[in-house]
Formats: sequence, structure tokens, C-alpha cells
Amino acid sequence: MNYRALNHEDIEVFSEAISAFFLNMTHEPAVVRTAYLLDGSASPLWGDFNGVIDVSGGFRGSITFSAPHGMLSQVLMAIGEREHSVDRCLDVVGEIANMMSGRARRHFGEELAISPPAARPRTVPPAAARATGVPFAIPLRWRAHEANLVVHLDIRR
Amino acid sequence: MPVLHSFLRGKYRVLVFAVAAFFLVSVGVYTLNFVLLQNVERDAKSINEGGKLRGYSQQLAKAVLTLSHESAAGEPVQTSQAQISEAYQAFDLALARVQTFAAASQDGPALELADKLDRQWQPLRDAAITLLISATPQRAEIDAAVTLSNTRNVRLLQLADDLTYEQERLAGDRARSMRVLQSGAIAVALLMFVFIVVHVARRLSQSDREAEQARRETTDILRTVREGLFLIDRNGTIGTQRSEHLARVFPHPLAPGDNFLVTLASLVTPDTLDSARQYLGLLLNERVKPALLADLNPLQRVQLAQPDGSRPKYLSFGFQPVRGGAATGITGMLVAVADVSQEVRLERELADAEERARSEVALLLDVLDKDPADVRRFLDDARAKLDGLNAALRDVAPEARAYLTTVTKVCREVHSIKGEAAALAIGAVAAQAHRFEDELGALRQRRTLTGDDLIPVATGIGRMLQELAKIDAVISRLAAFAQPAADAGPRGSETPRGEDGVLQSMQRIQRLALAVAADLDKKLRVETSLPHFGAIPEPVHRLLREGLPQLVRNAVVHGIEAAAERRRAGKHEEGRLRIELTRSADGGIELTVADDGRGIDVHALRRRLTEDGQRAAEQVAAMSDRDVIATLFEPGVSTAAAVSEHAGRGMGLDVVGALARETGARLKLVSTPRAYTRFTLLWSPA
Repeated sequence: MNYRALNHEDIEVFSEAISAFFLNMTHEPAVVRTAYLLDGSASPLWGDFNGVIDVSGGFRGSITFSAPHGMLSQVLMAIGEREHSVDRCLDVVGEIANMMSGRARRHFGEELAISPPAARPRTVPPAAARATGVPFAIPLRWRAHEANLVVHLDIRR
Repeated sequence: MPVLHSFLRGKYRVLVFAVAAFFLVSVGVYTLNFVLLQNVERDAKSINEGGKLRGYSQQLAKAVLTLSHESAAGEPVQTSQAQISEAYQAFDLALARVQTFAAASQDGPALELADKLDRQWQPLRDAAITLLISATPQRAEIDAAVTLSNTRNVRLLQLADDLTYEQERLAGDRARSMRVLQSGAIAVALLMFVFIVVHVARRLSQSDREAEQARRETTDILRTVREGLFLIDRNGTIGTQRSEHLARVFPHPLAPGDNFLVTLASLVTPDTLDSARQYLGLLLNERVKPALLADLNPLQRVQLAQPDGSRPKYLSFGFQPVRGGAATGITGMLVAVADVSQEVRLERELADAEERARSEVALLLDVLDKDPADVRRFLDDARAKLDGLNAALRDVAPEARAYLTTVTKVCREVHSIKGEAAALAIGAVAAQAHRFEDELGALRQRRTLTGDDLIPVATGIGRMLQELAKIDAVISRLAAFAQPAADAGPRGSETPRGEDGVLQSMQRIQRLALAVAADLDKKLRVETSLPHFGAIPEPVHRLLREGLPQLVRNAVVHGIEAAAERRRAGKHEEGRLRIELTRSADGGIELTVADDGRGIDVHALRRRLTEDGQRAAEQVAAMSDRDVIATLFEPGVSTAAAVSEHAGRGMGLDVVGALARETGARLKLVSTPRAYTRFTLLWSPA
């Protein structure tokens, strides 16, 4: 099966979903700092908390949002949550993964099969990569914190 | 008439005949009843008349006896004569009727009895009439009449009884016959009625079953068929029945009564809609054969308007005229809709695969006549540059100026890769770099860049790496193929170094210059001078690989004029490009690229700097010619009118300037308008 290279619209779907989440929840958008390719030698960007969606059906790979604990604590504070437990942090990254999932379905169409969004702490190691293309990392800044969006996706031509 | 005809020939034929027969039987029974009732009436009258005969006979006998007594007593007899007259006339009349009824009934015994009555009656009648002739009849006449009355009256009574009995028998027979006939007719009518009811019930039941079966089959078809099916009438109004698959295929719900073309308007372009309207009009034309129009169908494969970013969806609409009958002609269209997105995608995949195969073959052919070491070095250099760019992207500070610096750096390096790829005639990489430069050019036009703007930069680098990986794969395959031969052959065929390598570089540059000139329809002669001077340091090598293609391309595009322009300028129509690599007496190395073209027009460059908004007019006016010319080595400054594959981005000399700085060369530019331009790079001795 032939897969095409990702174009910037494919990635912006996810970065915009994250920005929209931060804007809606905290009234402060998360801003893309840059975008670059993660080569094979680089360690995977796997933060304190990770929201992951796996895709299939003409697509192959995963999209991961990784954020440090400090960032998520401040997000919880910004939305009026007093409890900053691990579960609440996982809820936040899970919600972001869910938002990415919805945007992805609109962008890529019904052919995209998306697994239920999963929220995982650092202690649960990332699953083995299924996509063969080069993953893209998009660091996003919110206040003084930086999270990472990693789009590792093969799209059938 | 046609309705009746179709009725008589259709499934109701038996029913129609049965009802008609029932009607005929009913009419027959009624007629028979009518006739029989007439007979009954006649029989009753006949019996009645028979009974009267008895009465009249006795009345006459009594009147004759009375007259006899009155005559004997000398009393008046007029009353008796009147009674006799009345009795005999009544008897006559009754007898005549009885005879008439007997004749009408054709009954032998009755006729015979009537005749006997008549024969017995006539003498008595004559005797009675004799008594009426005179007001005082003779005694003898009276006695004769009495005698005749006594004798004949008994017989007449007997005969009248017999006749009455016979008539009653006859009436009884008729009544029985009538009952039998009526019973039979009613039975037949009942049977026919039952037949009709049963037949109709069976027919209705069968029709219901058939209708139900047809409905179920239609439902099954509409539920199972993998096409969206529905009907439209001549006005384009959508019918009520449709296949279930339609909802999965058609992006909008199609409500019964909607207009098909109105619904379609939101899905296709106005031109396609207009074509579809005309096409449907043609299909409704009885004189046009649908088969001839199949290829004209504008909706045979149509891309639907989809939300931005959605995968393209293609539908195929087929139209089949629906005919109501010979008289009504085409009443509408059966529309079959199928989602052919997958088919289109597969076709495109196939086309892409073929294109890739072609491009890989082209790539293979491109690479085959190159020194694999050169290509490998190019790949390594290009990858190293792209990796460096990727690292720059990763580490960029989150500020607009840093973003612009990074994008400019990417532009420079990609332009350098493009130049080197063009020099090596690796068209796929050069083309990919050119497309990437288009995107980067658009970014550099922005006043302020943000982090989002670096996403297309990263994906562009990804595509470049992918293209390089393809060449790497080809080279690796070639190397694997060539390895056994190399192993078997003599040693010493290592990558050419030093002068050989430079010679090959020069040959490639020469080919690049001629190719660019041919593309631009210019005539060119390339001269190279490469005196023997031993090993070449790597920095010089690098500039020959990466910078020389830029200088040569710059000379051919901007310097050398078209043949006609050169003729008008009094020059030889064939432009001259000279590339010289020399070693100075002190051991330094000098690379010169000179052309006899139009030189650098400082005034035009000043205008360009202002027009492009690179600098304010006052600032440009204050600049010296030397400073203006120095801007050519800045990124984005170009004198080309438009961007092409060969020039216009203003990055070539920026690349050369950067390389000169990085390799420690001094860069000199000398130019005379309408005469020549010469670039010189000098490396001091190590």
C-alpha cells in the first residue's frame, strides 16, 4: 500500500485542536513554537502525561500530545479545579486527545478509523510505532510551559 | 374501448364472463317466471271458466223447469225466458273461453273435453233458443226443452267437472315444472354467484399475495442494492421510493418532492449543473437514443463539494429513461448513484504508482551515468544540510526575527541543494526543491512569521528527505548490483579525487549551463580552463559542488542575452561563459566565472530594490553603486522579472556569498554594463 508524505494541513489539524482547547478552557491559546522532524535517534517525546489516539483505515500511526505536570496543574487551576491529581491531569490530556480525534475525523473523513483516545502517564511506556514515515514534533507553548504534539502518521494516497 | 379490451384480455376475463353469465341466467329465470306466471293466470281463468259452465248449465236447467211450471200454471214466462237467455249466453261465452284456453294450452284431453261439452251443449242451446223465439212458447217445445235439459245437464255437469279436473291437473303440472325450473335456475344462479365469490376471493388473495411478494422483492432489492436508486419525473421532482444505499452515498438527505437539480446545485459546480440540466433535457427527448448520450453524461464521475480538508468524494450518476407506455412516452428517469471515490482513488494510486515507477526509472537513468561517489556525496551533503536545518527548526527561539532568519537559512540551503542537484542532473530532487522554494518564498513574503509557519517548513524538509531517500535506495541497489563486478575486476577504481574529480565537476557544470541555456532558448558556448595544479582542498571542492552551479546558472539566466538581443547589441549571437580554476604563484586558488552578457545594470537594480520594498527610495538613492551591487548577495534580491526553475528567488548569490564566507574565500565581482560580468573567488594558500 502506498502512503503519501504528510502535508502541513494534516499537522495543523492537530495543533489547531490543541490551541483551541487551551483557548476555550483557559482563554489563553497554546502557541506553536516550531515544527521539526524527529529522527530515529532522538528519544521519543513522552511527557509526564500523554494523550494518544491511534488511527487506521487508510491511515497508520498515532498522534500524541505530551505535557509536563506543571503545565497541566496550571491548566486545572485556570479552569477552577482544586484537585491536581494524576487522574485529573490524565483527564485533561484525554480531553485534548478527544478534541484532536474529532477534528481529525472532520479533516480526514469517515475513512479514518480512530481508536478511543487514551491518556497515559509517563510510567506507561509508549507503544511501538506503527507508522513508517518520519514523525513530526510540534512544540506548543502555553504560559512558560512547553508541551509537544507528535504526529506520526502514514496516509494512504 | 381500450379499457374494455384490456379488461377482457386481462386477468379479470374469467370474472367478467362469470358476471355476464350470472346476469344472463338471472334474466332467463325472470323471463321464464314471466311466461309461467302467464300460464298460471290462464290456467286459473280456465278453471274458473270451467266452474262457471257448471253454474250456467244448472241455471239454464232451473230456468227451463221454472218456465215449464209457469207455462203449465198459465203464469207469465218472460222472467224465465230472460233467465234462459242469460244462462245460455253466459254458457256460450264460458264455453268459448274454455275452448280458447284448451287450444292455447295444447292439452289434448282438455280439447277433447271442450269438444264434448260443445257437442252436448248445442242441442240444449238450440232448445233454449226455441223457447225464446215466442213470448208464449208451445208446450211441446217446453217439454222437449225440459227433457233435453234434464238429460244433457247431468252430462254437461260431468263434462265440466272433468274439464275442471283436467285443467287443475294441467295447472298442477305446470306449477311443478315452474318450481323445478325456478329451483334449477336459482341453483345455477347460486352456483354462479358462489363461483364468482370464490373466484374473486381467490383472485384477490392471489393478487394480494403477488402484490405483497412484489412489494417484498422491491423492498429487498432497494435494501440490498449497492447503488443509490431513485426516480425523478420529467420536472426533476424526486419520487418516494429509493434504495437504502442512497442515504450512504448521497451527502444530503433527498426528500420526496425535492427537485433533483436544486439539490445537486449545492454539490457541483455551476458549469456541471448547467451541463447536467441540458443532458437531462436531451434524455427526455424521445427522438434521441440514450445509448448515444452515455458518453456525454456530465455526472458520470463528478467530484462533490466537500468541507475543506475532507477527502474528495466522487459520485457517478446514471440515468435511464422510464417509459409509461406507448401513449405516454418517457415519464421520468431512474437515477442510479454510486460512490466511485474508491475507484477514483485506486485509479489515481495506479497512476501515481506508474508515475513513481517512471520517475524511479528516470531517476535510475539519471543516476546511472553519474559517478556513484558524486551522487553519494551529494546525498550526504544534502542530508547533512537538511539535518542542520531541522536542528535549527528544533532550536529556534520563539520570536519573529528568529523565525525569519531560520526560513531564510532554509531557503539558502534548499537553493544550494537544488543547484547541486541540477548540476548532477538529478531532476527529481531539483524539482522537489523548486516546489519547496515556492512555499518558502510565500513565507518570506510575510511581514511577521509565527511558529505555525514553520510547520510547512518541516513538512517540506520531510519531503526533501523522502526524495533523497529514493535516490539513496537507487544508489544502494546499483552499488549492490555493481559490487560483484567490482569485486571481480581490478582494484584501483576508487572515487576520483583531485583533478579527476574537478574535471568531472566541470563537465557537469558545462552540461548544466548548456541545459539552462537551452531551456531559456539562448545560444551559449562554455569554456573551461583547468590547468594541472595537483590536489584540491575540500573547501574549494565544496564551493565547486555547491556554489559553482549557482554562479553558472546566474550567468546564463541574468548575464547572457537572447540571440536576438545580442545581435541588436552587435555581439555574436552565441554567448560565452568561461570558467577558470587556476593556482596563483603564491599557491592560492582562484575560481573565475565570467560571461560576456549584459552585465549588471545598477540603475535597474536600484529600481528593483525600491519596487520590491526591500529598501526605502531615499535609502537606495543614498547607496553607492558598490553597495547596491553588494545587495545581490543578500537573500531575496533578484533582477529577474519572475520566478522560474532557474532564477528569480534571489538566493543564488546569497548561497555563493555564504559559501565564500564558510570556505574562507574572497569574493570579487567586476561588471561592465552591456559587456561582461566576472565573479572571482580567491582562496589564500594554506
